[in-house]
Amino acid sequence: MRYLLAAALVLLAVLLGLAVLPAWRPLGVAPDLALVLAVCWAVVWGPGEGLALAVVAGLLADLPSLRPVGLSVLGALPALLLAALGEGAVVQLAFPTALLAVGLGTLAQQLLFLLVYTAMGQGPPWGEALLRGALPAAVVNLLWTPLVYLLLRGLRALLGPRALGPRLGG
Amino acid sequence: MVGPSFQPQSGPVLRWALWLLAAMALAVATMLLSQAGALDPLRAFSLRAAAPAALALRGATLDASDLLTGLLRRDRLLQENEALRQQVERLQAELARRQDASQRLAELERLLQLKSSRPQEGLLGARVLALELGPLRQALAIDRGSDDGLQEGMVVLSEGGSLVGTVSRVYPDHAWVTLVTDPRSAVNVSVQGGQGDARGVVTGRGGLAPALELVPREAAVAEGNLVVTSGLGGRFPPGLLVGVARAVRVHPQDPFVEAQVEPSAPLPRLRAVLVLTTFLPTQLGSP
Repeated sequence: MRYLLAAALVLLAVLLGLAVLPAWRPLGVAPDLALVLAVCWAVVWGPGEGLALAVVAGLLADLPSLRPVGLSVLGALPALLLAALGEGAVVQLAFPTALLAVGLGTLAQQLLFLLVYTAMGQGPPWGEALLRGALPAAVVNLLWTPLVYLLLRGLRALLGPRALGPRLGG
Repeated sequence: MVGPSFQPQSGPVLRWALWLLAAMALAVATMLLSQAGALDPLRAFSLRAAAPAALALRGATLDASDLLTGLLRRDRLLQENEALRQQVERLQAELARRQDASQRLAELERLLQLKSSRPQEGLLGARVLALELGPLRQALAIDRGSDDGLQEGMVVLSEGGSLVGTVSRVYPDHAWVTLVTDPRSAVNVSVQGGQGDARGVVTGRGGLAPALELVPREAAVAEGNLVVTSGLGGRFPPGLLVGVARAVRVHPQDPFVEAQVEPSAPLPRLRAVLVLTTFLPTQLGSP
């Protein structure tokens, strides 16, 4: 049941990112809902599942776009790593972990995107891209985090706790 | 009190690290494959497969947004409606005068055997399939491709005739259009209403309003001036509306005006566009 739910949420996040969210861009950037979903899923149901979700969502999001396929997966890994590092304290620090992972992870993601585009000879000026692109992207993703996190926590209460998966804490 | 704990265990940590490395390897491999074009058929299929749901979702949310905006701003919309009605009347009169001038120009060009400055406009309508409006890339996908005669470099307009961007990548049944707001976009423009040589360049800045650059301060650009393509460089025909000058600033030490351009085309909310199929960019050789 949880995996069906994950598949539905991934599809919804990809479709929203493809067609709807670009029309509403506070601070000039659209949220990366797939990244926020993957990080929150990692915090709520474990980093192993979050990683799998990030891979599927990233590939699905990149296919109908101009980005190199796989770039979103690569960009999500720092955020997933941060979410996994906060794995030990699920009850007390889950939400701050999600916020931290989304915020710092988005900055790392944008830095990776810049590196890749620069390597491809398509990089915009770094200073402006970081200041006017990466920072707003992190803020916008952070604004979406409580909504997605609360949704997943609610679903977790309905569906039951997570299964055993790759985790760091004892 | 139970605090945060971090008790690494070699088994799970190793397994996690391996999964992470595998994901990284998969990402890099697919990136290389996609850059080599090996995933193009899959990309085209995914765009086609996602299009019906994406279009329906997009249409429904834009309609809902318009309805909500209309309900919340009824009084303001009524005032705007009246102002727009008056503006349409003025513009119709202006259009009539311009059409007359345009006919005279065409006649003169024909008499002088000059290359037409405004080729017969062949416009091809296309639906917007997907939007990519990130800080590093600003593009949209349309449901027309090389099968419909599209070529790279063709100019794309909004339904109202304002500049949207240029076709940057063409597939048989769809194409990607790089928007004027893309950080790599630069359009030679002239500012209407300015004085003297009011020409410059509009450069995209990702999610922010494009910048109007290299316009001499003597041009006396003011807020609300219309910015149109100048035709210099041969990438765009002259006279296409790009947007309106905003946030104009003149610094004492700067020989150029600092300004932004508010694009006239509603880029994030576009549902359909027009491709100018009769204009192809001129490839300028070195002098």
